[in-house]
Amino acid sequence: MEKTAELLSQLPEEAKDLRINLKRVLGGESLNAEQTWGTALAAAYYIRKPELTAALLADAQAAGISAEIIADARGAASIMGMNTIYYRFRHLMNAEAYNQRPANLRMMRMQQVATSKANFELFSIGPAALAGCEMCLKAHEAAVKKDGLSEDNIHDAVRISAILHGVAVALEIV
Amino acid sequence: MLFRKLTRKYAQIMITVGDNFPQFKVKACNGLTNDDLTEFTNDSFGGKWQVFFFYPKDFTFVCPTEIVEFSKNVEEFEDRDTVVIGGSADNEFCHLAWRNDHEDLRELKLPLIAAPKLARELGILDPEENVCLRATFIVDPHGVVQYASANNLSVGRNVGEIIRVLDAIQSDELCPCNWKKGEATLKV
Repeated sequence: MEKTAELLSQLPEEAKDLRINLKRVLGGESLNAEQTWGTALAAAYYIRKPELTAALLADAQAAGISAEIIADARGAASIMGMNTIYYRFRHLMNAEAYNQRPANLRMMRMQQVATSKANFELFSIGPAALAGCEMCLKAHEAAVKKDGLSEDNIHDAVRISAILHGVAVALEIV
Repeated sequence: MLFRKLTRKYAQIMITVGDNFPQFKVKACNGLTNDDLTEFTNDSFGGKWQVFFFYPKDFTFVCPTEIVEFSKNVEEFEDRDTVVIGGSADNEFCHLAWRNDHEDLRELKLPLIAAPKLARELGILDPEENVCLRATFIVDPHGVVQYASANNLSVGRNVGEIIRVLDAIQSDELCPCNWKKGEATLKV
């Protein structure tokens, strides 16, 4: 993870914890390499910090992560970019008037996954957590478990996303 | 279903939503030379959605406007994983001659199929004139008709409306966030 390490070295001393955390989680804990990098990329795309995304993408490719995993991370991040806004609106309003209306939004990419439904759902967990919507998070957590992943897996996916959010904040500290 | 199957044999009933699109093998014109004459079957579209639009006759006036309009929107359809196919009961050589003859049809980005048999099986032949009604079908990747409509011979179609319908059909709420009251799986 050369590029990411290089970027992390720019973090101020006060954000040292984040540097250590990110290096550790990217090394892989309960998630395998594909799940780890896919989760990290989806979170980074969602967070929209270009230099962070570029570094992670370069390192993911160097680690041999397939184009399909990267494509699903892109798909998950962009669909969640839309859905965390739209469904959070529905969830927060909690009004029949909106719940009964069809969303009339295309989200075919959720069905046309490049790798697996399990991966796509896992990559959606970070954005759901980052959006801070209780119902989105609960729905996606249930979906990931239904696809056969464990609570350890979900916990690590959220930890990766949380750390990346912290890193993005720290990169703005001058 | 049985009744529909039996009656279809004897009288013309238009194929509608939920029916399988008929099995077909048709000649088609997909360019301006003899080499562009080709053939299509149900398996030619590689798992994509299909929009079939039929028109009465080559060498008439309303038809090219509509066909050009569909052609202009081919990228919109491609974005929606959809192939567009035009057709009439004319044969492929007639299509070829018309495309060469009509300036607006030279740059066409979609094939025209020669479909007298298919049109009969779709139930879209005008009983008096024996030409295709202005019928439109949206067929899903499994070959099931999801939309069917027919205009009389003189009424043109609105391509924007076909795209709107296609969008609506394809806009399933696939996200787990789409939780509705009364569904047991989620407790908040």
